[in-house]
Amino acid sequence: MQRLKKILSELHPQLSVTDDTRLIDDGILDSLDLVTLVTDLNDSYKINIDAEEITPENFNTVGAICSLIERHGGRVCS
Amino acid sequence: MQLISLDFFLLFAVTLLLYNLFVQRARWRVLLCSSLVFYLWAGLFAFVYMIIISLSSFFLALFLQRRKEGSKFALILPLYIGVAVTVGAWVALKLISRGGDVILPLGISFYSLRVISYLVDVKRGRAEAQRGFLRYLLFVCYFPVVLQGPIVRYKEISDSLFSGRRAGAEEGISGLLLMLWGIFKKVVVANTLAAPLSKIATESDKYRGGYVLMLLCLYSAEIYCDFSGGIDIVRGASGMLGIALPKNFDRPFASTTLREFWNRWHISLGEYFEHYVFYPLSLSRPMQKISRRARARLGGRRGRKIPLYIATMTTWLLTGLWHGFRWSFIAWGLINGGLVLLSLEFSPIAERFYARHPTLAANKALRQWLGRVRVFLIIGAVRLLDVYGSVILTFKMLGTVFYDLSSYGELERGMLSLISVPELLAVAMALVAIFIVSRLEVKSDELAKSPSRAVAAVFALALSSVVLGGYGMGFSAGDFIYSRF
Repeated sequence: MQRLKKILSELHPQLSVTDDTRLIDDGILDSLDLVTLVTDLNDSYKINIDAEEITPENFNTVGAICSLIERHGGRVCS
Repeated sequence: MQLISLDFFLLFAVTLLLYNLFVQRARWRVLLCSSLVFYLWAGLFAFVYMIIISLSSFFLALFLQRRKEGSKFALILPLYIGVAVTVGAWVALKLISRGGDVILPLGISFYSLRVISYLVDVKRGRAEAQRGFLRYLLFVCYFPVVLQGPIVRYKEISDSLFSGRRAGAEEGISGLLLMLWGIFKKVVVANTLAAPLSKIATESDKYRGGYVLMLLCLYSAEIYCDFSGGIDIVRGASGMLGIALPKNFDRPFASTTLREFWNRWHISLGEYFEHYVFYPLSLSRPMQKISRRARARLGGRRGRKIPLYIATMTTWLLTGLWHGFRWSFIAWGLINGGLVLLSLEFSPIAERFYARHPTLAANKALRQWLGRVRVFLIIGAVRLLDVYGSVILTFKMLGTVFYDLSSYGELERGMLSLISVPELLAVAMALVAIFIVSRLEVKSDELAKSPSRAVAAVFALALSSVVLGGYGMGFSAGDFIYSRF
């Protein structure tokens, strides 16, 4: 989880990401951020999230992103 | 048939009546008949073309869903052909219609996108192919969304479109309020400003400098009220039929950054291009290869941005072309794309600036207002490409804002020769009302909960539209800016 939060904080340095932060609903991440995030996640976790999985359900919270990573066989977010 | 016309209101009124009179299972057929009447009204060519596109995409979707065996390429090829043919026919008609001999089929730019998204979603398994042609035809030609959108995807609308569900009392009143609000914005602001602003734009030798700045500001008001007003009419009408349509504007002038603006303006188009162009392109295999090579040459940080830049500019180019096959629209798309990327690059620089100036950083209200003014002026300036229709002329006229200082001295007298004081007051009062409603986030469904407030709002909107609306000579009563797409 900390690794993921570090990736998110690199996208928005001034943002303090918590487990309750609603990244899509609150307009924190836009499409440019999402593509950068997916690229970073694919590199960092050695997985392959594709375009069809960029949905609000998969990226709205840190927990949702973790679940997505784990579904791709990424190491457990910690 | 325009959205503000007796024909449209008559068609809608008859549709609403029959929809509520018929049994539930037959109500979607009422919508279909009304939509077909709408298209026939537009002309036989528009009707026949729409039917052909509907038939071909209907069968193609069923084929795509059924075909499971074969190589990856063989499975995807029919989709590519279907999309290519739809886009190709649309492009060809757009080019031919520029000559004036052929009229572009009504709503082609909107329903072509709907058809393409349907085929892609069926292929990807995100939507079930519709087995009934008439139901599918209703999805393609549903008349409220024909002229201006919003661009709805099959899964977003199919359930409510075919369910035959009626709007409840509050829903119906909310829809009526939204329609009246849209009419108010359209007739009081957009219609009133259309003729004088058109004159400023077409007589560019005479109206320079300060007039261009006025045009930048007032055209932003005109296009917002015209487009969002039309969308409100569409959403309101559809809401009265019990079919909810998504918002297409979300207080765009409250945006403090360019990126935020494009998430609040023409939302359905932005989401469409994000979903079907930007994300697939930026994460595609060729882009991943480019990313690896770029990172090897430029380093990780810069290298990973290259696919993002390419995908962003490509998406914006296509968005510009969707609006029209003119150099001014291509420039509009590329400039907006470039500005979005610039704002991405400048964002960390701005953050470092504010970190060094904590007093300024702490003044959140000032920062927000500076941001809003900046976004308003930049977007308004780029939008002049659409007004002048020529890249060179637009830049030339923008230049006069800074050097044709004598125009500012006569600006007041000049503007009053174009638009009368009562008209200016009407527009000003309407804009204040729109600002207040936006700032307070007044919602029609909330108003609808209180009968007395709803009645007061209906009365106020109807009366002010009639009394203050632009119905005089010099404009086309229903000439929606976005209807030409």
